[in-house]
Amino acid sequence: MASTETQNTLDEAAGDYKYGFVTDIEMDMAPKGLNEDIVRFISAKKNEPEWLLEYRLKSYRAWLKVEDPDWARVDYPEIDFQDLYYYAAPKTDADAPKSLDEIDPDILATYEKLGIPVKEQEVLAGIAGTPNVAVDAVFDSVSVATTYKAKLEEIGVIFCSFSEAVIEHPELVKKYLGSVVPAGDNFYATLNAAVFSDGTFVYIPKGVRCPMELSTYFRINTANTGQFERTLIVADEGSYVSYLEGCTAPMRDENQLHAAVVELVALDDAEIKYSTVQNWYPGDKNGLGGIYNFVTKRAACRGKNSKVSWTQVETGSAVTWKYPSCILQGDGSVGEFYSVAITNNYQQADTGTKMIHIGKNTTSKIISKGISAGKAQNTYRGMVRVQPGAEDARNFTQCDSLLMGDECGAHTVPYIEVKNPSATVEHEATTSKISEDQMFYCLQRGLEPEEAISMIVNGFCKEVMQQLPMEFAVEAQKLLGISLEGSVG
Amino acid sequence: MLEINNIHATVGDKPILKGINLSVNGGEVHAIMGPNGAGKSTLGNVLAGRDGYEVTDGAVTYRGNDLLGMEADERARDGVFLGFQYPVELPGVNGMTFLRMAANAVRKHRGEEALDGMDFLKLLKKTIAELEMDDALLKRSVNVGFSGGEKKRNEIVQMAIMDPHLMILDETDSGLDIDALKLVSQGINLMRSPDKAIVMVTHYQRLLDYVKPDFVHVLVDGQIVDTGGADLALKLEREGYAAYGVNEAA
Amino acid sequence: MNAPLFTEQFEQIRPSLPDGDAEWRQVALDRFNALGLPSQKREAWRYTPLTGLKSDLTAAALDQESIGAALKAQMIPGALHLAFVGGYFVPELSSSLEGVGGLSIANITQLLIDDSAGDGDALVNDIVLNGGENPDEALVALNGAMVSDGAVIDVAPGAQITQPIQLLYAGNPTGLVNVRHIVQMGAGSRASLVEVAQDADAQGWLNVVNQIALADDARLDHLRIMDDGEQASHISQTRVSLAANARYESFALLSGGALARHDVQAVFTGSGGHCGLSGIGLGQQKQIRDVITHIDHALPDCTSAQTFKNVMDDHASSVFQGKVTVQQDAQRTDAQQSNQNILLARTATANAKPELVIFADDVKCAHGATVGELDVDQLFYLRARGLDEETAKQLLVEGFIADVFEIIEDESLRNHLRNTASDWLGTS
Repeated sequence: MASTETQNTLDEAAGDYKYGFVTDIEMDMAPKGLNEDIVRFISAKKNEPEWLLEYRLKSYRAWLKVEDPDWARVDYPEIDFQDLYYYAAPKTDADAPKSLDEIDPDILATYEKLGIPVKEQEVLAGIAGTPNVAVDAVFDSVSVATTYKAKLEEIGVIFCSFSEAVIEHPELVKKYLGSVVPAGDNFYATLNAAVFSDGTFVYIPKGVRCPMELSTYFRINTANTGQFERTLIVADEGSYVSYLEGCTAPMRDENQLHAAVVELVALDDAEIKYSTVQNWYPGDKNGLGGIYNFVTKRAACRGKNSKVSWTQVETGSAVTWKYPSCILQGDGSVGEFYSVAITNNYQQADTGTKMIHIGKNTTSKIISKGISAGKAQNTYRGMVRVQPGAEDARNFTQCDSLLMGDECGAHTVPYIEVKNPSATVEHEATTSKISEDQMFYCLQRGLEPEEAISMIVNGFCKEVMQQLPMEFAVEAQKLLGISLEGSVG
Repeated sequence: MLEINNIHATVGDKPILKGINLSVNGGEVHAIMGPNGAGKSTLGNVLAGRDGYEVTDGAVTYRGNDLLGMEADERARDGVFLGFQYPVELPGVNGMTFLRMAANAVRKHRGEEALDGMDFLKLLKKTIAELEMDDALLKRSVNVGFSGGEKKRNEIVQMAIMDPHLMILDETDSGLDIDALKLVSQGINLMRSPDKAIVMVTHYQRLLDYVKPDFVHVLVDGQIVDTGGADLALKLEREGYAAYGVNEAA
Repeated sequence: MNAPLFTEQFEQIRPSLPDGDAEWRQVALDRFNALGLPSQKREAWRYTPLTGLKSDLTAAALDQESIGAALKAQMIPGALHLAFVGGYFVPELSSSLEGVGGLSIANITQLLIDDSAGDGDALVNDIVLNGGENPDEALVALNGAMVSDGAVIDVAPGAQITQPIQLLYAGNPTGLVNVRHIVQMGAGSRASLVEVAQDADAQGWLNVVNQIALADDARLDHLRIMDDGEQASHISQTRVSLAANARYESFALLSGGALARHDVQAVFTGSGGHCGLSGIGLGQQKQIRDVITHIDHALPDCTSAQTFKNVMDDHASSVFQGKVTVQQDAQRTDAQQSNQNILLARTATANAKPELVIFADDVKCAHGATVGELDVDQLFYLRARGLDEETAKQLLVEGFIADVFEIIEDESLRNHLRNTASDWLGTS
């Protein structure tokens, strides 16, 4: 995969960041718990302008009044919000593991399977002495980013960390922040609005087709503060961008709670393609530990003929709770949701989408593939709502569940609410398992059982996988196979 | 190549094979015929190692090894090919990708180098040309939406690419029209070779007009009750299985 | 907790209820009040407001003669008729059971008062002990507290009752009527039950609970016509259990009343059974057609099929919340659901939530839901053949719902239901 050259480039890139951001806070760690002082502390650390501090405070006060939701089909121990650090400096080397020998061998085995070289493995695992980069670092691409960053600037594409955007492009941030996911939207979004740490900001100017895929791989974030990511992507009239978010290696990560908020705004004739491959630490075979992934992702298809496509492959996290949604306001706007959610062992996923049809001639397409194995629970929860003014709305939904073994569960809860007769809404759902005939057929053609399952499962998910940008597709396919390990009954 | 010694097998609790003895050598083409329920498909499934088929007595030696001690996929990689009577659909699984994986699984087992995309395509093109078929089916998902004839043609292509030693063809001719039958038979005949053996399980004589067997066995109620040459099949076509005590409705 | 409801009305009607002074009725009412009327925040009541169910509903005096006439008009020829007027069984308007072997019919009043009629204690226990925790079941609790009467039908093992048993409801111009029917199908028996609420003058609230138990190999066809008066609200709750190889086929036509709610919960207590739930909802003005079902595949090898079609006009809205649960042991379950909706007006609404909760893997479960309007090409075709728009629409809607009627095996019953639907279509 990556070479020493890439590693050096990475060091440089990390170095740049450190200079501007990380070094300053190296010594600081906010005390545990959340109160107004902590919120102010966070805002001060980031040198935020007054208006943003106000936004945070307002959200914090609202959060105090909202109740922790319990309607999803997921079970997790109550989260003690006072027992979390809302702002923490990166781990000092004193605490970091000294070598790969200290890392969970399962994690190492996965790195190997995914073809990640040892050096990179060290960085991912946060070994002492390696550059302080967070999560996502597929090293091939980093050199690409630094090479093209200049080119992006030339054509006016803004792609930087959220904190940077607040300082460099406050008018844009102010205009769109909270316009798609208002601070009071739901419990975790409200919490995020108060304590968000950092995230990505993207702005594509009018008529520009972003020439490369933008990715969180490039954006360097400090470990342990990535819990409350805030991402804002604005595609101005006639523009196009494809954004990738994700990590394909499980992280040794103590952060239990990841409550991110992603807002997308697409104006007239603009298109945003947002792809996620998520493989956060899912907890061990006995269901201990693991990340809670509670994310609010929403796109406002504001402009005429605007289009937003969400593609997600969710294989990690102990509990996944997310509904990337599209508000189809603009006439002719299009919303798409392609999802593969895999749960194994004791994982739980309650995921799906909301498509709200408001403008005329809007279209939405939902393809959801859920695979449940081990003792996991996998729920698709979706809503298709056609408002009275939404003339000629079209929706097609296909949710398919694949059950592996008889100790897991796959559930489908679709809400279809139509208030306009010119709408055409079609919803289909099926549940099945890998038949013995299919398994035997593959075995008789020389494939080993795990290969056979991986192939059949990939076939099951094909429609979704095809939506992923190529770079991701290959890794995602491998990931499907790995995620189902141990599920061969 | 294949020594079947007094095999008894049950499916679920039901005994189906009740003492089969059969020897198949390289270069030979055998036909197994018999009325419905005789155990023809069961024999193929037992040899291929399908779950749910239990061998309660007897042994099978394949190329000197204990076949029954091998897993289904091991047997396949070791050159046992079962042409299915009802090939199952694999939605979303591309035909070409699947076939390449299978071919490479065999090659790996043999210590040969895996074929990359280009080399595989070359091999495929060559094979398909010899078979006088086309690769259109392979561009689709495996068997999805295929007619009976298309499924059987697909089986033959897989067989040719995987280059097995022992081919067990389970009613490969069922549901085929004359043209498809000729094409499929041609494919089978192309596989004839001194180091390969073919066992065709069939209900009808028709296939045997195109693929001439060296031996014809009659399987009735789980046992081989008669063995002869190609003309035995003709006799069966004329007289049915009544001579073996079978009351078969036409 | 809110202020208790119905206390005054309860005291008023108690004297006329069978076993009216009994403590169990008070217990049931207390239980109802502990749960409270379900609000729209509850999933199961999300689309259906119960605000109209006021605590001060009093029954009006009834004109027996005109009611008798109305009932006669609804009676299906050849059926065994059981008439319930204002919630009370009226033997004079009902059929005699003489000569019908294998069938024993009593009524709740008898059950509660006369020991020889059947196990009244079991009924009381059931009302008092069950359905106490689930807020969605509050109306079942209310029914228990104020139940006035109902049919107690016992079909003997092996009996094949060819005459349909028709339960007719009439006489509720205002007020709240609570009726409960208990049906036991003996092993290998077969019968059909037709519930008809078609009194145009009935404008009150009709709260029905059906408790149905099918023994091994029993079969019950259960048809229901909810064609109440314009202002009426009809809530029907059916709880059915199917033993081994039992078969329950239910069909409901929701065509009348401001609110019609058809709630069926079925559970398989033996393997090999089949539960078929189907229905048609026709709505105009501001009517609500609410179907909520739950089929619990608790055991293996059972099948279920649900087919519901809705046609909504004006400001009407349809709801379909169909839930299928497949428990871990329920291998080889085959459960299908289909919900199709047509909206005839800009202001109409269709809501669908076909839900699957699956814990077993060797199963075949699928559901489909569609919402749309009448096909413009089809409409034009009919008009190009000389039909006016109204007639064309009517024809297409009839075509849309036609196949659901085919599910009803008995031809005369099928026609009876089809005619009722046609009446609606003619006036829409």
